[in-house]
Amino acid sequence: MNKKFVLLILFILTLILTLFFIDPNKQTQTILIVDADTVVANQANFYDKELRVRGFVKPGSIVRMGNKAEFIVVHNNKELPVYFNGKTQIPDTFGDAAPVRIDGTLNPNGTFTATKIEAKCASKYEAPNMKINHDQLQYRDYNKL
Amino acid sequence: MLTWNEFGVITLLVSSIMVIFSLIIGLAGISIKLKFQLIRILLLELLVDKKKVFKFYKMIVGFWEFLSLKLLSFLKINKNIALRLSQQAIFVNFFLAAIALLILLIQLYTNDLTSKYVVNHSSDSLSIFYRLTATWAGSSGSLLFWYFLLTLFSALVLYKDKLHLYNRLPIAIIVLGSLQFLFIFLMLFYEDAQPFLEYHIPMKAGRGLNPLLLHWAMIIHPPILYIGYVSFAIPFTIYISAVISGNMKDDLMPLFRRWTLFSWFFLGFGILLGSKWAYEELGWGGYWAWDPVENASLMPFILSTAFLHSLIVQHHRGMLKYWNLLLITLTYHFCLLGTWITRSGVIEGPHSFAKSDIGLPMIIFIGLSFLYFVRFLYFKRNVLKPKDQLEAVTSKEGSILLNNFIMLISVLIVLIGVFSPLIPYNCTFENGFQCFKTEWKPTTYNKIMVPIGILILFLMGASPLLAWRKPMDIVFAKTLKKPIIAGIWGGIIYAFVYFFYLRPFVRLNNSPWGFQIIADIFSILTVSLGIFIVAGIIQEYYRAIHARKVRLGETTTQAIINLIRRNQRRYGGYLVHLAVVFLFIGYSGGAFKTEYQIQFHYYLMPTEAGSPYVYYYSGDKAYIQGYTIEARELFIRPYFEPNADPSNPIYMTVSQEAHYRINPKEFLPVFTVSMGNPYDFANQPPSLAERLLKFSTGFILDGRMTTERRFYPQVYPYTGELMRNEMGFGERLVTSEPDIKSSWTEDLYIQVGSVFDPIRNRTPDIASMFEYYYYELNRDTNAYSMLFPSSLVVDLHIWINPLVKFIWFGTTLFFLSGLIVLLPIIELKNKE
Repeated sequence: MNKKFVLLILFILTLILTLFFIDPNKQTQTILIVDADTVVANQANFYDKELRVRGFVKPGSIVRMGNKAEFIVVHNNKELPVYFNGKTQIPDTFGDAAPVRIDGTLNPNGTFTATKIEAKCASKYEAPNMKINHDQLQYRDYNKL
Repeated sequence: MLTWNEFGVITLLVSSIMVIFSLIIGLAGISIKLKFQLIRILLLELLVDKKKVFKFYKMIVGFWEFLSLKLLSFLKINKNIALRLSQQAIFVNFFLAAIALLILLIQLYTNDLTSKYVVNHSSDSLSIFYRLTATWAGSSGSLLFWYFLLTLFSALVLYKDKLHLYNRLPIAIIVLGSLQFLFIFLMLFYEDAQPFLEYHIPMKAGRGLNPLLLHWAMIIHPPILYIGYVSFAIPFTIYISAVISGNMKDDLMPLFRRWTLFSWFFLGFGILLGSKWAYEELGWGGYWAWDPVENASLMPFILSTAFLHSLIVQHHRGMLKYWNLLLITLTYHFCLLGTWITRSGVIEGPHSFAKSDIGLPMIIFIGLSFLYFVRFLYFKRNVLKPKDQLEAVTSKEGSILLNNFIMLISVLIVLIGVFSPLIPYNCTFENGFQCFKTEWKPTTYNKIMVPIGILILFLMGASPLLAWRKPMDIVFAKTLKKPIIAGIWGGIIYAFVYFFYLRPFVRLNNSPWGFQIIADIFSILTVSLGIFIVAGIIQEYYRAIHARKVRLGETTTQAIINLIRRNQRRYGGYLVHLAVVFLFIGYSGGAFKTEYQIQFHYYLMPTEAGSPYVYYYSGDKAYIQGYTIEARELFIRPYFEPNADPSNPIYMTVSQEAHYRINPKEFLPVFTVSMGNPYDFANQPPSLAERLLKFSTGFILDGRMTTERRFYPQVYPYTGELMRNEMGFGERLVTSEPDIKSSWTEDLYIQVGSVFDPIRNRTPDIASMFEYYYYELNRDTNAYSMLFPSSLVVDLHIWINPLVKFIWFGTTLFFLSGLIVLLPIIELKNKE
């Protein structure tokens, strides 16, 4: 292949990568994804890190105060108390037992301060909290007949 | 008597038999030469002595041929008839898939509550239109629709009998058949993909359509995107079959090009419609979030765009055949990967959360298919050798190839971003060795994709102005000089406007690079390049029109029409470029978007006895970035779908409807009893002229904007009642209904948020209260004043999004110019 062409591509790649690694504010480019039980079990590992914690909202735990909220995220029977500071919108799909992903940081006292909540929505509307046993039994039984 | 579900399952079973029949008979009917091509093994050829390998191949092909001849003699047919039969089976399968889809449509139409799909995705309260479009509201319905489209396109392409594809490219039948096999296999054996699951006892009520899908764009966005995804199987099949058979003749090119354009157009338009839906329905003030599902559709679109352009080089210079095979193979497999990302739920995002059981078989198929077809890049390397070499980097073909490379790099970057949540590569040694999965932030994508986008934009503008073979300096004065000067001057003027008018509004440092100046430079560069491209397009059009006028004596209008009709792809393509410029200008506005959240204080107002709504009033004002926002009425009111029975609480959606006045010029009286009813007073419908004015210019005569939050009921299908929590409150799904005042400079995007009771210091469950008031207390006047909080604090989220209107203008232009490029009726074939 044409040498000039290869050099040009290398030059462009270098330029893009240089722009990518400019980081005056020392911001991380990625967020660690962890399940709530991992955070609860190894709290020391997660201080001062930007986290995206996955779990389910404990039913009945939500206390909403306007755009702020307190709730508990559960995963494998481990509970993580969360305080949402209301900096962003609470999604419409947020509610009891909703699968959530919350972004924020872990406090030394074991609570979690969230800046953003994501909850299940849209195209994956496959019967949320409806995959219950009756449902399964109904057509399993039918199959046996 | 068969039930519809049983009928559906039987249809799918027959369809699967038809697919297997088509595959077996097709595999028997192909020639020995093709059989040899299909079984070649890359590793063997690289590692083992050639003679031994060919002996091995001979043995396998011999056995295969023996079985084929046995089968054909049993059926008493020859190979040609076998291929014909295989093709006929594909046609029959289309009718079977259509019947299966029709059955699902009938079930949705009649609200058949024995069907699991209908119960979970529809309800008798919906209008017929939404009931039918629930076909693609769930995973299994979508897969059935997908399968139907695949059989339709397969039948269509093979129906082009004058090319005798079944005979010339018999592998096409096998490639299409194997893809059909994947989908029918999933629909028969995997629970999450089965559309005809049945409840033994009919349910009492359906759960309804996901309220987020109750939007015009969501109704057409999925099928349009699916058409794009599915139809890419066709150009891939034609190209790969022609390469494998060594039968790449010129008469295949128009068919192949048309299908590629068709798929590319639908994919692109589908993505843009998805943005429109996200912007208007999700109520978060944005249109693109680098969500895995969005990325899943973006990747094949970028690849196919690269492919379309390198196809031009192949057509004109006989180059890039090898590259094109790579691109179309990648595009096809990325389309499949896109389906996998959307439907498997393996990669978490706001779109996809719950895991589905179809993930594993699909990804295995995609992986095997990619490995299988990518081998032909090696086997066919001699056939795919270019006729010419690249002579100058700054020639037309050089610029297209460079743009291709950059597009491929961008796909690679997005791919890494999409898959980063699956790979635990972030490892630490603190407290023992541990590795974590990570996810890219949207700013990380922006940081790398914005400069790439700008490079692509530059090459998109330069490429049409460059010449084949020759370097840039030869044509510079003739074609490039004027557009470049226009671009530079435009950039300078815009820089002044930017720094003196727009920049002061940027409150926060939005720059993903940390330094705001880099974001500023990119914003100016985008506009400057936009002007360069537009100037280039105008110059190209002007020259061609002028030439026609001089040479053929046509008028300007005649010249424009004939120009486009005779060079449909070239001049239509320039219009697509123009659409992309508008899209990029719209996207560049994201650099200085601002966001606010304010609270207004409302008071409960008396209203008529037995009122079907609750009435609050504020009158507070907020002053934001040149806007005065005055909060006025807030209603808690019922909302019913067209066919709903208002006496049944399962059909009642509670709406929290807030009215605002933006920049009120004159004093509007507050509602008094003598004016009738406060709800009708607040909801006086704007005239058609007022609506048109708002749509085209963003100017609202009386400044009224209305936004809602709707609380959709969640139905428990077994009892046909509202789902309730342990406290007895109804479970509801909340959706946002923003209002947008869209002018050419910026959008004012408002969305009412949550309510708060300042006296009791808690968030009231307004929807449950209203349901209680409406049904249990029969809208009693005393209950009205005692039940509802006497005052409320209500959030209002405000986004000021500059230049977004350009995105929707670009989308419309993309659609129209895409049609010009695509529609065969526009083309005039006879050359002057």
